[in-house]
Amino acid sequence: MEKLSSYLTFKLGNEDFAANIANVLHILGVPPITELPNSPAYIKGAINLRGKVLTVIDPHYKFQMPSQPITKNSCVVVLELENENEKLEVGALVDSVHEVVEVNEEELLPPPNLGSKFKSNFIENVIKKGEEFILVLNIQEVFSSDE
Amino acid sequence: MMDMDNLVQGFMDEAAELISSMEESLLALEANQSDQEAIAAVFRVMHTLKGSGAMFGFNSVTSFTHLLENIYESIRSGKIELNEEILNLTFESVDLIKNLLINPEEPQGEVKKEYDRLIAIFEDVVQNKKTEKLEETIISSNKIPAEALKNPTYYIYFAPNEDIMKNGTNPLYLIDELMSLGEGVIFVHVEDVPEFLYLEPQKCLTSWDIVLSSEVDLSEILDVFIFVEDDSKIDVQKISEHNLLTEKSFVDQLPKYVGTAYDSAIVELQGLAEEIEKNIEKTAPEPKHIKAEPLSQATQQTHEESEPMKQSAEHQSEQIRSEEKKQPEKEKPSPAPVQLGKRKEVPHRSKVSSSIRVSSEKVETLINLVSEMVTTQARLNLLASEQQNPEIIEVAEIMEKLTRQLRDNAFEISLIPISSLVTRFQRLIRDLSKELNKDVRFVTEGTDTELDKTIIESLSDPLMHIFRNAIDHGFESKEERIEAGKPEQGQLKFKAYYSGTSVYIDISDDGGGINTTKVRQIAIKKGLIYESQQMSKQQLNELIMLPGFSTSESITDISGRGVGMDVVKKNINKIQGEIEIFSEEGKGTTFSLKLPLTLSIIDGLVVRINDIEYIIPILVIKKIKPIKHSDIQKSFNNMLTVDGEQIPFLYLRDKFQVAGDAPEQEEIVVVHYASITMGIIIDRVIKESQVVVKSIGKHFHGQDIVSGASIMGDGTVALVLDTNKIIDKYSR
Repeated sequence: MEKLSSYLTFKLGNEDFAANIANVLHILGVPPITELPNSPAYIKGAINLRGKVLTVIDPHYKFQMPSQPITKNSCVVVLELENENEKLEVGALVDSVHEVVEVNEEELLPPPNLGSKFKSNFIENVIKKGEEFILVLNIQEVFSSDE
Repeated sequence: MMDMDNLVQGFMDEAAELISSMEESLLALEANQSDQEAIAAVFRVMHTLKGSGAMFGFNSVTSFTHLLENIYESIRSGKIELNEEILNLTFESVDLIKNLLINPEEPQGEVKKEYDRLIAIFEDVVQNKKTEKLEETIISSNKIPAEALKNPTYYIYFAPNEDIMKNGTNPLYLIDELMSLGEGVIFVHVEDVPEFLYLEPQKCLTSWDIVLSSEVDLSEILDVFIFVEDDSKIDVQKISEHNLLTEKSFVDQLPKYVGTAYDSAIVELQGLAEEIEKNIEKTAPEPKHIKAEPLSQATQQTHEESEPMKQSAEHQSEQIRSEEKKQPEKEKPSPAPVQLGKRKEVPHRSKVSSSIRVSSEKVETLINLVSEMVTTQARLNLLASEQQNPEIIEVAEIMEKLTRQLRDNAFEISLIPISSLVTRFQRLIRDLSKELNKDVRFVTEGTDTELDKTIIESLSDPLMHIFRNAIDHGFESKEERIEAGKPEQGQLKFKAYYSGTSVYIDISDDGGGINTTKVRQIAIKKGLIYESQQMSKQQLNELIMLPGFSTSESITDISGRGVGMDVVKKNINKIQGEIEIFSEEGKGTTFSLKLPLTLSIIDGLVVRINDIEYIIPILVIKKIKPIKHSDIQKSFNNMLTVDGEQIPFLYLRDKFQVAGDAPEQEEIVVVHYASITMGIIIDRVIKESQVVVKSIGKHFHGQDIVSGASIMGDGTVALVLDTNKIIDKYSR
């Protein structure tokens, strides 16, 4: 039987990325972000998500990309992670959100050897879409708190 | 339809709560055996458990609590005296009831054994009580017949309109109200109630005959029916100036007269009353052996009632209550204690109805919704002022006021006092100290300190561990204590208080303290520290919380502690709390927990640096003074003079690496922690505000000077500064 899974695709810099829709809770326009003083560069700050305080991470740093200015296309993707058996919500600041794609399990390719470009454990799979490649993020690895 | 599982769950929750409140009362009784209030409380809990246990099929609970209830009823009315034996038995019973509550089935195995054992003992107690009681009855009725007879007796016939419940009136409440006026006997007529199949639950086809003896006059009884008198059949008559319910012959014959009547039985009763009264006048009151019979009659009554009472659960509890009401009747020779018991019941009932049980999930949702509403409100305000429409502005203002009230209310709901936790430990401490043969007094302070429910829940295990350790290892034996010149009884103190944005819980014992030399030796032996490692006393104390430190041998090896303290530390850290140990050899040990108020409200001072707002808890602020930027630049050795006092300061613009120029005029907020004072320099103070402190999440863990965040009226996030940490870090 075919097994379909859905992925949300978005852009960081010039690269296309995807996150399994199961991890995505909300997509928001960028609300005012309160900077957290003395925090590591990848922490963008804190936002108010429906009365909860949510930490927003700028994933560009995780992929050694320059941080992008916030435009009208920028979005915060609220992701749910599991950390030590605890559910944890975190916001990811992305440059734009594109679409939800349904992918057959067979179309999921193993992560390519990207050399030293990205940390290899950050990429779970690759989706080939026409001539384009979309990198499927390992949400757990990219957004867990350490580093 | 209602979900049975939910109902049972509700019952279990209620039972757990009842039992813990009962333990509290028992502990109070242990301290003071004549505490009437506590006796009444135990009785009430038993009574409620009996009723609701029956409703949910916990038959063993019902029959067991019934026994206990009887005993406490007798204690309450002064029939038997409470003694240590009964108290200890009751404690054992509490444990048994807990076990019985796990499973509604008949008890098995160990539980069954315990059940039979306690039942047997209690039946013994009841038996003894009966003989005592009987004697007393005879004596008192011989002495003061007049007093027992002084209240007039009324007959009340009440047949409500069958649609009475559609008006929202519950006739049972009226009966209840009647019974609160005095003592009485209720006869229920259910002849008109059809078979279950044809039963219309909305219709009331029941009527009541009540014989009531009360000090109130006729009009007051009529007042009870004031709202239903138009369409109900009501007949209230005084049948005697005396309390006929003290007359066995009257009580015995009552069912014959009222039980068969389909309408008001007043004529028949009046005849009976006259006859009885004549007898009273003629003969001096005889010793009355009324005790046993009315009891069986009451039970019989219960059976008669139970059939139609299936109508609703409410009926059932009502039935039990009316039975309770009947009980005083069998002790009439001593009206005084009965009255006492009755009065006490009134606040209890109002207490029950004034609180409801809500799942914490619902409260959480409410809080989040309210927070969202606050955000939206701020936007509405903004729009209203832009529109310049006075009507909209007015509405926005009213809305704002309402929102604020709603917010305050909602947040208050989510906090619970720490006392709910402490009660549980009182029992544990009592048992443990008995078991380990240590005389320990448990003292609490600040138990009204409120904390978020989730925090309180996750505190239970760690605290239990700390207490256990303190009793097991902290306190010396009695002999050792006397030798050391300490009072024989050890004191274990639980103290909770707010400080800044945190709640502190200190658990101190006045025991032997931690033997740091031994701790050091063990740590070296276990390879946790090097032999040459230099450590402060504080560091040595904290070694006991290292994971490898605690093994079973160490319990006996050291006079201090060491059982699973690493687990305690881990659990406290999990809720973003901290634990510290202060100990002095020979004097005692204090475990100090610092806990965040994840969801607590604090009064905060909103300040601004550049365009970012921060919150400083008002509690820690000593004063606020304007200060010129040039003064700061001129300062020497990081000290400023404020009101003639030299204080160190922290320039937050530098600390937070804020870009841009500082304003010419800045402000210094002087904060204190313990005995240390420090100035925090910010751009300017905005306002004072009540803020809700929220955790800023895992990612930000380890951040040193921010303890949480709060959502401001405009929906932005402001950070709450942890001034204690700031002082700790920068003042030395």
